[in-house]
Amino acid sequence: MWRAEFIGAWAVLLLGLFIVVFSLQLQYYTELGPGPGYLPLLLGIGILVGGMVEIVKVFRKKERTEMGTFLLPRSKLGFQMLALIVVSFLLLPVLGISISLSLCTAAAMRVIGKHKLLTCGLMAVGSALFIHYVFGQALHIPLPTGLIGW
Amino acid sequence: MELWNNLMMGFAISLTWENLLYCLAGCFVGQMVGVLPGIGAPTAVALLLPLTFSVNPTSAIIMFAGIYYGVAYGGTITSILINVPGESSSVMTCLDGYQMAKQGRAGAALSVAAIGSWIAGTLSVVLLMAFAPALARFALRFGPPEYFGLAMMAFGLLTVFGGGDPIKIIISTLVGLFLAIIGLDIVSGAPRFVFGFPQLLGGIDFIVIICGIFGLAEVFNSLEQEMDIGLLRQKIKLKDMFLTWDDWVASRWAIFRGGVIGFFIGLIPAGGITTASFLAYLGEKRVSKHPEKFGTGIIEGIAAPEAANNAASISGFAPLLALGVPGSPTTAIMLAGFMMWGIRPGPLLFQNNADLVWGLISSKFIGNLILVLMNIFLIPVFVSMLRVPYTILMCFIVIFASIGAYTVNNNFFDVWMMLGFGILGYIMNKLKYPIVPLVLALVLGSLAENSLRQSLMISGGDFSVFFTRPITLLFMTAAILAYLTPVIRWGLKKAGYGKVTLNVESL
Repeated sequence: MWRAEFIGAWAVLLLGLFIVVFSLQLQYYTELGPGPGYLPLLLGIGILVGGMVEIVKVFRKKERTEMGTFLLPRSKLGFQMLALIVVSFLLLPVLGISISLSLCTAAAMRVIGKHKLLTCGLMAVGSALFIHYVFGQALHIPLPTGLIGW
Repeated sequence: MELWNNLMMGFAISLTWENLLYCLAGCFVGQMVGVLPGIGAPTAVALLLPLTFSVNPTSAIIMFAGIYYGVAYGGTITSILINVPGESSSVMTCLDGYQMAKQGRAGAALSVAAIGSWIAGTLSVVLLMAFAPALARFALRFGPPEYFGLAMMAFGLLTVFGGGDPIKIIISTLVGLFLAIIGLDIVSGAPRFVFGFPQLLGGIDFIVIICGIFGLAEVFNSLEQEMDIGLLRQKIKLKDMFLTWDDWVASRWAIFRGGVIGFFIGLIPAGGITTASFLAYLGEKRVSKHPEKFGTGIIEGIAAPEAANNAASISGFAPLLALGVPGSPTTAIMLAGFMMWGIRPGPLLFQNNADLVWGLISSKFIGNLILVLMNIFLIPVFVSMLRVPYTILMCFIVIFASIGAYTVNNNFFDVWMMLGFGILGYIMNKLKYPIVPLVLALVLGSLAENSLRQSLMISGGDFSVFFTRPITLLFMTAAILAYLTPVIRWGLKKAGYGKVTLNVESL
């Protein structure tokens, strides 16, 4: 966890630096008053300083406390879910939102929840119908349909 | 008389069949969300907000309000029956509620929570009716410097009430402000941090961020945690739900005191319902003749925090409606909803959209009544929801979040961005960077920047404009004191005045 905290603090610092660098390309002050770069510069400096303070704090923590681990034994379930979501999002333009998200549901139930195949299949059909009729028909949301037309 | 007429107008709106159904739906969803550990009111409102594009704003806001205070009711059930707070605002209820349940008095515990919430909620609506219009009239005097001061005060108070590392709270706030400024600058028209993506010219839509940072992040975080729900096997009969005379005598003043504390804490931007329940519990313990019994299962230990969290969830609407400044993440998301429907909360809302304001206020009387009845008669239904496999729930969050993000601009870019914010939310949660300040800053970002720039334009770049006007001075002083609170706490600790923090273990 210490390493994760350390990387996190550096990420904050780099974000601050990034904002400062790009805000310097914007006009800081105009004849009317503060320009578009005024607040971003202040924010960037603030985040940069915050990142520095965090780095110092993390360094001082090192010897003092046991901070646990960033990844837990069940974290892999989160990563599995993430992978399934990414695949279903990649399939969105091809299969449409109803089918790709319902397939994601079925896969998540099978892989993460360890449910029976029949249950997963029924949930896939149920969620596809739910998305199509509730979001598409009842709420009139223009859902992307993909190649199948659903 | 004007108040009475307005209230009657509000009832004429909230008692239509359509609005009653939305109120009922909101209360039911809120109660359900409150029961399910790991899912909060902000997530529920964030996921449902994009689906209300075509709904009448008054009906939608009545539903969201129902969710907000419904959650405060629902969180109690799991606190009492399984010692797991459905919501952070119900943490204090666990202390005495679970003990009462173990003694075979779960029905009385649930009942005092519901009735206490109802009484305090109704009291809070009455106070809100008087207070919110007065606050709105006062806010008519506000100019850009006052609004900037108000935003600064709201950000500053997060460091006091946020309950986390102050530096991380400040970083989260600054990142939220940064996200708010992405897109075209409204004064000069210059693109900021767009990097050639035309989708970013209009800024990152708030809904995309909250669907990711609340919805998806919730999925990743919840999957990581073991949800071991060991339900207390206890048959609760309807007759057990009615309070005895002794219970009523013991709890009546706790309910009243909790309600008053909750109302005033809810008024403070960033005050929050969790803080209200903590303070009400502490206050009740302090005034009690038998403080040693707190934590062993006494009814006042449930009545006070439950009354407080419900009162705060209602009074939290006062700064939102009258000032346009949200007091909590849920009201921040509702503020985004107002903007989505083309309504600007603030002092003029009471004049320009009186039907919405009074429809909403009056719906709270109805919503509270619905909730108390639900909590007395439908407890088994909500308890059974705890048996729904968590994977199914997570999949539905993914569906709602994805469709919500897509709905904003009908493009896949937003869906991918939502995923990115989901990952960001997960990492922030792991590293204990609070998300609430980011969301509040995101919502108030444009107000803060515009009022800062307008103020400096008016004053010719002179910063004294923030310290020479009385109201602005008050807000800025409060903001500075709030930012200095961690330093003051540290100083007091060093000087040997003990730890000035709320510690649940020691209560």
